[in-house]
Amino acid sequence: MKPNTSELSFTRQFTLPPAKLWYLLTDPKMREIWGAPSEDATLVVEEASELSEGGYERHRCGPKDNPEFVVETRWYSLQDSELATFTETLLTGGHRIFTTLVTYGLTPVKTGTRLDIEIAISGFSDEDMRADIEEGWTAGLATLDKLAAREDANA
Amino acid sequence: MTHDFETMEVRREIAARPETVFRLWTDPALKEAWFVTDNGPEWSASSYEGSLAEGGTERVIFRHAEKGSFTITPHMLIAEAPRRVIYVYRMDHGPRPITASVVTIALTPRGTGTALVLTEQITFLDGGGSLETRLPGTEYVVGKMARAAEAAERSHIHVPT
Repeated sequence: MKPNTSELSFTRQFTLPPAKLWYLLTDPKMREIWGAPSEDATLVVEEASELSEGGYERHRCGPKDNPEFVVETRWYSLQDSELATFTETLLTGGHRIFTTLVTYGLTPVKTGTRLDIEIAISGFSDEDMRADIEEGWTAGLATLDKLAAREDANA
Repeated sequence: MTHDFETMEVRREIAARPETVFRLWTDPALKEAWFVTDNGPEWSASSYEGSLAEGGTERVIFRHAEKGSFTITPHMLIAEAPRRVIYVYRMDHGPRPITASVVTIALTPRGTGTALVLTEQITFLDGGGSLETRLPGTEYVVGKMARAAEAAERSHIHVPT
């Protein structure tokens, strides 16, 4: 067998300052708003410790009428408003499907903040899930962009 | 604060069955025996504890005579006997996190032995080193494990499956 690993990266620009973008990225309730992979999907926090290195969160997500997936998040490194590293493991029916190691890098720029995201994927079966994960992140980041624009307008 | 993301791969042909190799990665007593010893005169393992069952966490502290302590805390995600092991871990130098990784180990029968592929996807945090500094250490660890597995099979030591 071969390891089922791959990588993704995204870069986005936001008009918010780093501290405000950091809050949207790391607060569990904010992630409920933007983290769902489509408009038909939901993301609900079931458990969240205080945001800290070693902290743990559990979300439930999926179609609104059947949020069958559980996402376990473990925070590994947190440098306020600069860098966050965490893993997300997706489970369904008690079985682990894949894990991702995600790194957020926030850089102040003249117009706000540049966000660089690197995602390392390790699948727990031979199925290729990279395209699905990319689609989910792309949709989530589009929602984050709208949320950030609203936050900026209200500031 | 800066960071770098890298992926490294280590391949090794091992003259031991996948079942033996798998157990050396996932049985705490067997792993402690090969993992925390024989790291060179400047290194000493000061503690080892934990569970390597799925969902379990291991904690190992190594001390270097000049560089201080390094702590690794693997969290086991998948231990699928005898072909797949996946875990995530953070490495701290003293109190400071320096890397976070996902490690995927694939074991394939090859004759009477095993073809091992270890893929480590790493985020190097500020000052946390580089692929050039990390890869030799990982190759050394895989080599130690391979020698332990081969010795176990040569000695007909029973490694329960």
